[in-house]
Amino acid sequence: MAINRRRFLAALAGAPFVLQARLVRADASQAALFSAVRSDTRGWELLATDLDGGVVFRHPLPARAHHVLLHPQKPWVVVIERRPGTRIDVVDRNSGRLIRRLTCEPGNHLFGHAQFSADGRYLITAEQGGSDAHGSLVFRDTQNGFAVQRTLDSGGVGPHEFKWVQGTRPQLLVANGGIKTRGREKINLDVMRPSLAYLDYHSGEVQSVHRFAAQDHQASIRHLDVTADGTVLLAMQFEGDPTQIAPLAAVHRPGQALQPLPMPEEIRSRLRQYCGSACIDSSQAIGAISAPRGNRILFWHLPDQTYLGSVVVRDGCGLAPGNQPGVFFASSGSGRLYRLYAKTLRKQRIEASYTQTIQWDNHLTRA
Amino acid sequence: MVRPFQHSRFSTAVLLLTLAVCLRPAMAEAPAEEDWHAFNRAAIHQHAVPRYENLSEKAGAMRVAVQAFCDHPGQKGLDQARKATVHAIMAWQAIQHVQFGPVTYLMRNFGLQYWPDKKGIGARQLRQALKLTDTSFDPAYFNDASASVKGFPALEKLLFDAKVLEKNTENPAVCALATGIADNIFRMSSDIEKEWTQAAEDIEGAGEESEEYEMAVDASTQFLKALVEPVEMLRDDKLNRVLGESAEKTRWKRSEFWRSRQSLNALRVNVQSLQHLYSGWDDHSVADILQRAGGEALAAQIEESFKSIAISLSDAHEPPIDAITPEFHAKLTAISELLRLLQHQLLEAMQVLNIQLGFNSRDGD
Repeated sequence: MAINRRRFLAALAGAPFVLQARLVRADASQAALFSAVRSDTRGWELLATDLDGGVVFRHPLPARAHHVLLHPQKPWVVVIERRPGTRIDVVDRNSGRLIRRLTCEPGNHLFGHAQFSADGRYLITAEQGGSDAHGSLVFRDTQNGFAVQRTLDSGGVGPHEFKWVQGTRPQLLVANGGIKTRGREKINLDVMRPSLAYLDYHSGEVQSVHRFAAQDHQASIRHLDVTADGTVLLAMQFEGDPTQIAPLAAVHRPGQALQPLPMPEEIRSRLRQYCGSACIDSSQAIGAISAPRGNRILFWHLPDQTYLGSVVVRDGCGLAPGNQPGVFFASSGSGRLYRLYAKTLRKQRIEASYTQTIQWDNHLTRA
Repeated sequence: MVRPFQHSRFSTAVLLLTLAVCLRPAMAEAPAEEDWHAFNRAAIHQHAVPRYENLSEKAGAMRVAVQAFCDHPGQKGLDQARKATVHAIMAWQAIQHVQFGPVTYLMRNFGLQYWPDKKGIGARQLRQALKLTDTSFDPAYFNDASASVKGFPALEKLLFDAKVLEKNTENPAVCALATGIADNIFRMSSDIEKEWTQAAEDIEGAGEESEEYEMAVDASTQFLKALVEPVEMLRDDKLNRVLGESAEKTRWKRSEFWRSRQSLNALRVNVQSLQHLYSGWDDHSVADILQRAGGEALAAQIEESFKSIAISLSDAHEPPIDAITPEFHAKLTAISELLRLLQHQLLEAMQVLNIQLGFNSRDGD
């Protein structure tokens, strides 16, 4: 294969003796954004940066990961492999060093997302057991060597992202994508029935399950975010007719049906039936959904479900809230990082040393 | 502890790396923004826009011919309507690979050609449309209609399927729908052509102030996706899905335009069009930029692959539906393999050019 100078220099820069001086710009306390990435020269990695995109540390991964989460108290960064991966890396947030690599029980695989219990004791992962019809939420006890302590039925097939809903009794809210898979192959698209399931944390009981209308049964509910008052923002990937007007973004409020969010047809028709991440801003009033195939990030005012507009972010998928209302961080598969301003529909590119030498993976996590 | 040998090896490694950087005059530069600007201008004005203009022109002629046949039904009029439709289909095939910009607005790409139609949606929708008593297939009808009855596959069935044509004399819906679809295709094509004026301005105005394209390479990436990604579609949908494992298992009715016997012609036009996007002009074509980025050998191999596929297709003839020979199956299987090689070569070229065709958009979760 031919090699150009940029690629050659990038490879040279990847040599260990250059790495420390060139790439480590910020100290560990400034680590604020975390994501799985693919590096042109070094393969799959966990990348931690400060808010200006300065690299704090990079940790090599054995395979492509998906979601990164932070322990609520300990300096742990946890990286979850994507479907059908089986490994979880627990990384020291101060040094970037691997603390522990966990592996699923034999026959199980991950779906790429996880949460910690509020007290930080349990690491909970969305998983699939070999012969189970439904997916599972698997609890590992951090105080007992990450031993599997409990397994809950996720309330549907193919659990993907899940989050906490705080209330009088805490609940786990699970986006069950509805898709059965064999490796990366999807094998039940004609009969899939995705759902949004509310599980009681203590009893594990499925308290309610919500679905779209029958004609939209191929709208895979994959990603979500939740406001403090329990409004849920949902991002879908539609697996059916590429021309069907299907729900790609929706909200759910307790006691109500799923409500597709409005968007202009000229925008909806360019999203190629695929949304990647959902994120709610610091004010809890503005929601953002990324559409990497449509090269756009879309915004809504959640209390009245009005569409605010969109900005172009090519191959943009990762989203994290900024400090101010209506401000988001967004990362892209073309190696770029942005601040987005939903109220003015502006974007500001964050210049970073690694631009165009990495691809940010699907999700961005904010400390 | 002093380790002179290791120190020496380290020094030698640094020296070799340094020499490699300094002493490789032939090592080419990665393409600069100016190169991508020049490529974009050529791709717009020598490739995309002329092809959309041609589509619009051929669709206009098709509309007139279909209307004339319906006004005065007869074999001569039918022949002319069919001929004009085939010309329009081929004009579309010459730009089918571009799946960004105005062709994607309001899903015109699917409206022009809903294919492959693996669930037979088009046949069902067409049957229902032909049962309608209100035969005013006007723009309002097509705004709400299934994409499967808006474009070329439905029109081909109406004009080339003998059983449907037999009903023409007794069912006014056949001709009304045919003229409606031809008109719809013309309107979509001329809208795309007009909207490319703005699309071209967006691309040529790429830069930090542009909302659509922050860098010229962003727009180039769209054109390069239009070069690379369709190769897999040609192989998987247009050949492999039809061919099966043997001549006996070949299902030619799954091919793109079997009714009008234009499936192989379409494939020929597709390959020629991709080759034009690759090397159809001298200065700042993909081939030219690839060569200057250090990919001379690869650039030549890709050109060779295009030629091999074109030669193999040149003497492949549309087969009888139910009499696929082992020789024909073997010939098309060989073309499929050549397309696989071409796809690998083009993906390798993207690495040399430092182009990321898509990461989250191509393989997300």
